Amino acid sequence: MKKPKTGIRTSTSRKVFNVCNLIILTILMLSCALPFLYTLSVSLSSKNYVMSRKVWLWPRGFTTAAYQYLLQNKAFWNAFFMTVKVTFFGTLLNLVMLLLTAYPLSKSNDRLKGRTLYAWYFFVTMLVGGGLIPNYILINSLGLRDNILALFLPGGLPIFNLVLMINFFREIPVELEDAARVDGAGPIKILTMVFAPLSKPAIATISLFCMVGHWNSWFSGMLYMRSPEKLPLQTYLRNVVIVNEASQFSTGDMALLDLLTDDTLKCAQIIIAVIPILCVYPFLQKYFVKGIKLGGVKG
Amino acid sequence: MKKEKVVSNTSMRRIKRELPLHLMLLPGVLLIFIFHYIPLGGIIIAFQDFKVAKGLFGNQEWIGLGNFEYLFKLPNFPSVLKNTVIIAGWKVVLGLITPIVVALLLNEMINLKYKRVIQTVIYFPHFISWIIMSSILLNILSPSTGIVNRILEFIGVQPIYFLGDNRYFRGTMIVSSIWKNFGYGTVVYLASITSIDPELYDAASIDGAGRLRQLWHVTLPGLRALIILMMVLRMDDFLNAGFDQIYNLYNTSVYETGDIIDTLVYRLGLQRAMYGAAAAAGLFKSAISTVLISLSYYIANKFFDYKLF
Repeated sequence: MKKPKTGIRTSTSRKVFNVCNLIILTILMLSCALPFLYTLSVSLSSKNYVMSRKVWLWPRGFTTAAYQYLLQNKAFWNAFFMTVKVTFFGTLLNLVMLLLTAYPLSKSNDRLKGRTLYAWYFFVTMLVGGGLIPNYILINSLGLRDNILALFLPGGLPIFNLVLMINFFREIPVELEDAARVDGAGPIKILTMVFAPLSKPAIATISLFCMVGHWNSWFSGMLYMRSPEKLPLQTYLRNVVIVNEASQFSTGDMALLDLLTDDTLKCAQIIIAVIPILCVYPFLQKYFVKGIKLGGVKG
Repeated sequence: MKKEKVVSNTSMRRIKRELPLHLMLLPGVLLIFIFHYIPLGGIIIAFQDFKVAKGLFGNQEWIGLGNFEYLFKLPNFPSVLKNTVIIAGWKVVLGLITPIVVALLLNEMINLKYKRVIQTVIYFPHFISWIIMSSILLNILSPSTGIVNRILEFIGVQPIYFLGDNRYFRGTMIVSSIWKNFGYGTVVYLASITSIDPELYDAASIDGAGRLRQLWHVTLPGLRALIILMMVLRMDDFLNAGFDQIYNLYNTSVYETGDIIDTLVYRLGLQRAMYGAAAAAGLFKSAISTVLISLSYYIANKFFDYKLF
C-alpha cells in the first residue's frame, strides 16, 4: 500500500500489479469454467479411460455413446419435457399475473383507492411465510399431489419480480395513459397496448428470471410428484445422479454398454440439462444489468 | 344537501371507474391468499399435536409449547443451530466481500475484451441449479476418482474427503457457495463502478492521486451506497445456510458439522412425519428471520432512503 514516488516506479509496480491481477482473475475464471469442461469431456470419453482416471480436460477415447444411450432413455426425456412444460406454463402464468397485478399497483393513490393496502398485502409475503410444513400439508389437502399444477401454481406471482415490474411501470409517463383513456381505451387495453409494449426490456428480463427459476426448480418436484414419469428434470437428475437410485443400465444394446459407465452417463445428463441455460445465457447477460437497475438498487 | 349528493355521486363514479383495476388485482390477491396466507395461518401446527387426517384447520389437540420443548431437547439441536449460524454467517460475510474485490480487480483490467470474457464466464454458475452443481461437485471432489484429489495427489497431498470429513465439510459448503455466486455480485458492482463519473478520476489524478488512492477516494465512496444496501438486505440470510446446496451434498457422516435448521425441518417433517416439531423448528427460524429482515428494511429505508414500493 505504498504510495509510488516517481513515474518510473509507478509503471514498474503497475506492471507487476497488472500481471498478478491477470493471473488471479484468470484462475478465478478457470475455476468457473473447468468443472463444466471436465464434465463435458467425461461425457464424451469411453469407459476404460474414465475408469482408469485418465480423463482430464479433453475427452479420451472420444465417443458419443453416452448421448446415444440417453436418446433412447425414456425416463430422461419424460423428465426433460415435463420441465419444458412447467417452464412454459409457469413463465406464462408468472407474466400474466405480474402484468395484471403490477398495472393497478403502479397507479398513484388518487387513481386507485386502497393502493397502499394492496401493496402491503403483497409486500408482507416477503417478510413472513408459513414455511415448508404448512405449505406441504396445504398442497396435499388441495389434492394437488402428483399434479403438474403443484409445480408452478403456488409460485404463480413472484413478489420480488412484481416489485421490479411496478418500478418499471412507474417510469411510464401518465400522459400516455391519459391520452389512451381519452381515446376510449379501458385498463386492459391500456395495459396490453401501451404498458406492455413499452416495457419489453422489463418483461424480457423478468421472463428470463422466471424461466431459469422454473428450469432449475427441483424441490417441489421431490415433495409433490409421486409418479416417476411426472418428475421434473432436476428432481429426476437428483434421483439418478446424486441419490444413485438405481442402475441406469436396464436395457440397451451391448455395443453401447461396452463404452459406458455410470459416470459418463451422469455427465451427459448434466450437460444436456445445462444446454438450455446456455442458450438463454446471452440474453440473461444482455438484460441483467437493466434488470438490477430497475430492481430498486436505485433509491 | 346538494353538496352531499355531489360527493356521493363522485365517489360512486370513482368506484365505478376504478372497478376494473380492483378486478385486475383479484387473481393475484386470491393466489397469494391461498398459497401464502393460508400456510401462514398454518403455523399454528407448531403448537399442536398435528394429525394429518384431521386437516390443516381441523380439530387438533393443542399442546402449547410442547413441540418447541421437544425440539430444544433434541441432542443435536445445539449443533444444528451452531452449524446454521457458522455456515450462513461466513456465506454472508464472504459473499459480500468477494464480489467487491473481484469487481475492483476486474475494473483495473486493461484488456477490455479479456475483461468481458472473464465477466461472462464467472457470471455463469449463478444460473445453474444446485442439483447440477452438486452433481458436478460430488464428481470432482470424490476422494478416489475426483479430479481435485487427483491434482492434490499429483502435487503430493493426501486425498481429502471434502464432503465426508467433518473437518472440511463446512468450508467446502462456504467456498463452493461463494464460488457459484460471486460472479453475479461482481457484475452488479461492475455496473455500478462504470456509472461513476469519470471526471472524478480525472480530478483526483490532477491532484496527484495514484491508482490506489483513486480507488480509496473515488471508487469505494462511489460504491458506498450499494455496498451498504447489499449488507443491509442480506441480513435476513443470517439463518439461511442454503438448503438447496446442503441437502444435496451432505450425508450422515457429516451431520455433526453440516446439519442445518432447514435440513432438520425437512427430515423431521417429511421423512419422520413429525409435523408439529418440524413446523416449530421452521417457525423458530422464520421468527428470527422476520425480525432481522424487518429491521434491515427499516434501516435501509430510514438511513439510505431505500423504498421497496
